Amino acid sequence: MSMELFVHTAGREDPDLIEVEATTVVRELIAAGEPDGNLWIEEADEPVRPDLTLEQAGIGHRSHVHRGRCHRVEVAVRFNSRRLERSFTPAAIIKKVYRWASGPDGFNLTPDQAAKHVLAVPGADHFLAGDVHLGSLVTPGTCEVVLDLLPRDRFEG
Amino acid sequence: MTPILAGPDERALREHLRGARFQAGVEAGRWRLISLDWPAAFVAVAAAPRPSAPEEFVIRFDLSGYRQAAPTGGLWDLTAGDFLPADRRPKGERSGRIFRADWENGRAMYAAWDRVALQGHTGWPQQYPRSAWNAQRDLSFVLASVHEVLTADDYLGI
Repeated sequence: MSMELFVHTAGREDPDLIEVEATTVVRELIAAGEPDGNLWIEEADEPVRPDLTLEQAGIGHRSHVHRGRCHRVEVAVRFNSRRLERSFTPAAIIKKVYRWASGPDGFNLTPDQAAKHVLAVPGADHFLAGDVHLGSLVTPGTCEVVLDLLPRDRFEG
Repeated sequence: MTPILAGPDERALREHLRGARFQAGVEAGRWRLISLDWPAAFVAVAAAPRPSAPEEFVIRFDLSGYRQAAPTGGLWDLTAGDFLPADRRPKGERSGRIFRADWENGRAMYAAWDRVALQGHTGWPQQYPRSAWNAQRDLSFVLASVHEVLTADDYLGI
């Protein structure tokens, strides 16, 4: 039985929507894009066993998976001349990183302040969407990401 | 009879509707296409639960010239077939501002991704480069921005 998967990879914020057979072995899906890499279910800390089929691994129709070579991603978030660092699974979504960065273990913003801030890649022409995978943002050749916590735009004039 | 062929703007929009970014939003329940009657598209965007407030708001987009031209759109009442009245619009610091009813009769969003707003605020692309429309964006960029506003802590309901 065929199904669709959202496959997130390094270098692209948006996933690819691909059609695969539920009986496809995970190793084949990895080899199709990142031969030395692994496959994670979104938000999972550990990669999926490569010898399982997609359906055996619990990956269903329109699941989000991350394919990449980084086992952990070291993220540094900058805010008001301060910098905090932490590691996440590459399959972590930006919303999770934002919650950490704005929360009590991060820059400890009030709920009102937090609602007015958002993460962005330095120099990018857009703010990051909450569903982007952290592993999609790694600097080429590394497993590191630098992000800025910025004020949201408030349209005036 | 000669068939009417879709123009490049309509073809671009239809391609994006099939794409991963739009479909991921649909799958996650963030938005759904209600109908497409070119150049109008009606899209429902989910909102955070608030007392006596709807689970979603419908936006009527005009996508003429997509995507060289920015979309424009306002909150829509499907039953009445008209823009949503002020007393049923989202309240909150950001949502109330973007969906204000006292500007352009509520037919457009007061935001840098909206064509009508950009026509009246030519400095916004330089002032708000991370939010402003450009020809590399797609409709999902607007929908993600709207969904974020409608699910943020500062959205208060209606």
